Amino acid sequence: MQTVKSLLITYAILCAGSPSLQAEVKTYDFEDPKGVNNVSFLLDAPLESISGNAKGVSGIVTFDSANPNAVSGNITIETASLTATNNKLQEHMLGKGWLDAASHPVITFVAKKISKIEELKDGFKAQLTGDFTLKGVAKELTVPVTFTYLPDMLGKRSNGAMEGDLLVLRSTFTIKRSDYGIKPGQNLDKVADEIELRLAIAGAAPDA
Amino acid sequence: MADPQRIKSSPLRLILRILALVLILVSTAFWISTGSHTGFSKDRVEIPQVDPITQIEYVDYEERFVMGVEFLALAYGLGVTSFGLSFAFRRKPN
Repeated sequence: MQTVKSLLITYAILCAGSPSLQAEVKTYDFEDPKGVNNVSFLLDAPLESISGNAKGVSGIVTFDSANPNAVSGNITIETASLTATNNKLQEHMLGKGWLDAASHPVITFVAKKISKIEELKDGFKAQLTGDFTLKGVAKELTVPVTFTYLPDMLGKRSNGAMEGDLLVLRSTFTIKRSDYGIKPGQNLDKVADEIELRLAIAGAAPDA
Repeated sequence: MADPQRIKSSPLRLILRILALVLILVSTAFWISTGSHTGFSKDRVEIPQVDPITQIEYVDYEERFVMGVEFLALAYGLGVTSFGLSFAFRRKPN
C-alpha cells in the first residue's frame, strides 16, 4: 500500500513537471472509422498456429493524466468482426459450437481498477483489472496495459478535421477458452486452450 | 521370319498414368505459384500495416487464395492412386 502511495505521489510530481501530462480529465472515444484499432488472437494448433484479427473495436475510456489511478471505461469488440484467413475456420469459430456470435455479439472488457503504475517517457504502464466477458461469461482479469499519450495529434490523424489528443492502449494477455465455456476439455488436439490476445487501439479526445 | 510378338498398351493404362503426372505437376506448380505455403489453405492474405500517427500495427486483408498442403497432399494422393490403378490394366499381346 505504501509503495502504491509513493508511486502515485512520484507520478503526480512528474506530471506536474511535464507539460504534456498536465492535469485534465478527458474522455477518449475508441470508435475507429480508419480501421486501425484491432485485437489479434493467436493460438496453437497442429501444423500451424491459428491467428486472426478483430477490427470492430469501440469503447470509451475516461482518463485523467494527473491521476491515472482514476481511469475508467470499457472496450467492446464485435464478435462477428473476428476474421481468420480461412473461410471454413472463420465459419466454425463464429458458429454455435465455438463463439456463437449470433447469440453473443460482443466481447467486452470493463475496467475496474488500476495498479502498479510505472511512468514511461510518453505515458505509463500499469496493471488494469476489469471484467472480461466472452460468450456471456464474465471473469475478472488483471492485464498489463501501456498507455501512450499523443497530445494534439488528433488533427494530424483526422487531416485537420478535428483537434485534440490521442490515447493509445496496448495490451497482451492470455485467456483460457475453457474458462468461458468454449468447448472446455474438447478438441484440445486441434485447438489449444490458451488464447493470446493482443490489443492495440487508439482513442480520440477532441478539444471542446 | 515372323515378327516378335507386338505388345499393345491399354489406352486406359496410359490415360491413368498421364492423369497421375498431370495431377502431381499441376498441383505442385499451383502450390509454388501461390507462395509454397506450408500450412493450411488461406482464402485471404494478411498484409501487415503500421499507422503512421499512432504506430499501431494492424493488418489489412487481400482476398486471394493460397493453396495449403492439404490440397497438395490430396492431389498427390489422387496421383499415386491413379498411377497404382493403371497397373490393373495389363498390356495385351497384339
